[in-house]
Amino acid sequence: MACLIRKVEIPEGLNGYVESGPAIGICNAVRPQNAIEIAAAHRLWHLIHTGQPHFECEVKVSELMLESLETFLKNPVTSILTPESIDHPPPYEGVELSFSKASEKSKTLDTLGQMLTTWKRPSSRISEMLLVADEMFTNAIYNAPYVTFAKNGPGAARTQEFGDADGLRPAKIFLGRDNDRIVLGCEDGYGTLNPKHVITRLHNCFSVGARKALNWDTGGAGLGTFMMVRAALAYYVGVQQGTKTVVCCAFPMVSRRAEMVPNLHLSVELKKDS
Amino acid sequence: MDGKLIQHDLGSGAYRIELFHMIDEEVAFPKGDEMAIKQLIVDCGEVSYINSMGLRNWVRWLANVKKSNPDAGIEFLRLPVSLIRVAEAIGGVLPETSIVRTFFVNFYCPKCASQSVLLMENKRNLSLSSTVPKCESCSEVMELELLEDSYKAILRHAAAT
Repeated sequence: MACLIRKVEIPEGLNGYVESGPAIGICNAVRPQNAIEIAAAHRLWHLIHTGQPHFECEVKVSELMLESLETFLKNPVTSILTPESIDHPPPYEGVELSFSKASEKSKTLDTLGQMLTTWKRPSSRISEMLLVADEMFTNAIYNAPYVTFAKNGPGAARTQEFGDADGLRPAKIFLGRDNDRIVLGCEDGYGTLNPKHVITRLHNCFSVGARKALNWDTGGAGLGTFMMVRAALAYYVGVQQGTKTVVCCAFPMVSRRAEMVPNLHLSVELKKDS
Repeated sequence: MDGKLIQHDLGSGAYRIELFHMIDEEVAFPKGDEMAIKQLIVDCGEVSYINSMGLRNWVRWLANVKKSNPDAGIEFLRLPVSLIRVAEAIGGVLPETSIVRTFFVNFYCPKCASQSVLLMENKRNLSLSSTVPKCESCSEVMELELLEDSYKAILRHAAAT
């Protein structure tokens, strides 16, 4: 039976604000929905699965995000791949692409696809990572500027074409890898993603079924986060409220057969006056 | 035609839809409730992936087709792994009475990481593990990239005969 094995309490007074208490959950969930249920039931924003490769590294990432979210936000790829050597990171192969309008999606995804092809990833894995990049891109353009931290709605209609005149703050998608993992991430300059809503949305998708969780009105379909989490080894969200959001997913370099139970790492630093 | 969808009118109420690249918010699906459809063939062989907005439009499109044409036969050809993964996770992606004629199965070599993709004809009681090929590079027996269980949703849509 899937259960929470232990909670690692982090000393109070750290930068990372955790509404549910500064803790990292360690679980032995065997299916993704079990992990999400545990996160929702125990109000945990950091949940790591014992059966995952890189277990110890993943615990260190959570500690880093709780102790120094700013470090994570500045160096997400290094924080995820080598949290223990954040000051002296090894060089990583990767790419960083800025964008500020919806029409840049194809070009951005094509460049990412070319990079992943040079890394000799199976075509099905490339498709999966491009799907995640697509969701990240769409969230940065259509959600981040149009939702509030207090209320994460479905964002703007996806049929709208926002351009330079809309004055959107530029966002960027980035990709980095070591020998074992690929990290794909996106940064926007809004800081409106609320981790509490992320957990609620995921829990809804897994408990009632993603089909029933579909939003049929304007804005997003409400399944983007679910699709990202299902594709990834681990899902990371770092938010400085009103300033910056960084969302990342880690993927294995080698192919895998089993369904992955994703680790969750969600941290937010609230505005001082909120 | 928007670069991602081509519709062929085959006559007598039969249509063939070919999809390309990514199925996303830009794909303009035909209005299912404004067409008299007897047979709809959807070829997904060139699809890279479907995103959440594409999925919503896809589900809505096929629901409209079925609502306005309850007797229409819907068939899918060359379903890629990306759509198989979505069908596994999200119910209703393939309409209840639809048929999946063919789908792709991806294999990888645990020894040299080579890949192989086979187009399979869907059949009742098909055992995918019995179809695993040997690696062309090193002769090692390859492995299914997805668990066999992941194909359950597809195998349920095999034609009766």
